[in-house]
Formats: sequence, structure tokens, C-alpha cells
Amino acid sequence: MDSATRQHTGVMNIMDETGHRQLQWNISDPKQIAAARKTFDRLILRGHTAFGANSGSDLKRTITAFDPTLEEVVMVPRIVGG
Amino acid sequence: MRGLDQATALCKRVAGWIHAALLAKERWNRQAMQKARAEQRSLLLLLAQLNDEQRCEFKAHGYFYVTGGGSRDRYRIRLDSAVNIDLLGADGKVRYHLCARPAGEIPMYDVMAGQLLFLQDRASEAHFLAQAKKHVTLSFPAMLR
Repeated sequence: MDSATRQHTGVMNIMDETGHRQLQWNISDPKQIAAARKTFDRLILRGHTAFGANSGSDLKRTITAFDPTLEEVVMVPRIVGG
Repeated sequence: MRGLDQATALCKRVAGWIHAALLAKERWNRQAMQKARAEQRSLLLLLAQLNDEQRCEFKAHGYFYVTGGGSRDRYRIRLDSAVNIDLLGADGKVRYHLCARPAGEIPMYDVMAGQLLFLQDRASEAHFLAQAKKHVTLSFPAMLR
């Protein structure tokens, strides 16, 4: 594993009434990855949709499974019509 | 003596009202600050989701354009509390308005960021449109631009 991979951190932005809360993980830390995956799965079960990208400049796409190699994930609550 | 008791009781009641009013004002201030902070955080999240062109549009006009990930239709997302998405025709005119948003008490900029993410992605655009309600008769000035 090179130093760039070891340094890689991902961030999950979870929309809520505070604007959003952030959960970060380091790809070299299995505990942080497990915690992020657990949060991801819980929110998906609750009806959130996840959008992720490998880098900040990439267009985010829908993801259905947690991928710790992604740089950023945004969790959006379920959509309701008005 | 009875008059003094009544005056004391009245003073206590007035003091109670003042205390309650001060607590309510404090609570209101705290909630207003929390709301302002949430708006600020959600604005940062929205700006991070926009590309350079969209960021310029948003800063200048309070709206930005999005191309549908699956349909390739052109949408305009406006800073507005409801019915804030316009579906534009090839001539640039509004065909109809859409109303759909992420559920819950989330700040307005988060709402816009959520709408953007859903519409620009091929897989989620159809789901968003299925949930959205179409509005054809509204004519706010911003919608007619």
C-alpha cells in the first residue's frame, strides 16, 4: 500500500436539520470503515438515497452499497412530492 | 395588611411573566442562531455540489440549470421554498413546474442540493420525477424568465 492510499480519507455528508453532519473514515482504518458502513446501511434502510464520487470534481452517481474508496458520499433523505 | 399581600402576589406574578418572556426570547434567539448556522452549512454543501457554471448562475441569479441524467431535459432549480423546479422546453420557456424535495426539516440549500443530485443522475431522475407533482398554472416572476 503506497502512502497516497494510506492517507485516503472519505467523507459522508448526511443531510439533516443542522445543515448536514459529517462522518469521515480513513481507508487504512477498518474500524472507521465499519462505522461508516453501518451508518450508510442504516440510512439506506431508512429511505435515504446515497450519491457518491471518486473525486470532488466528478459528477455524483447513485450508489447502493458503501464503497470506502469513494472520496465523498452525500446521503439525501427520501423524496416527497409537494 | 391584605392590600400588601395582594400587591406582593401581583409583583410575583409580574416577575414571573417577565422571567418567562426573557426565557422565551433567549430560546427564540438560540433557535434563530441554530437555523442561521444550519443555513450556512447547507449553503456550503450546495456550493460544493455545483460545477463552476452553476455556481456563477446561482450567485448571480439565485438559480442554476441542471441537465437530466436520463432524459437530458433541462431543469432550472430556483431558491424558493416550494415548487422551485422549472422544466424548460427547447425554446427555453417553462413547460411546467415541479414540486418534490427531500423529506424532513432540512435547510433550503440542502433541499436544492438534493434536487440537483437526484435530477443529474441517470438512475435517480426517473424516481424523482415519479414522486414530483407537476404544477402548470403558477406564474411567479422568476418562473417566467
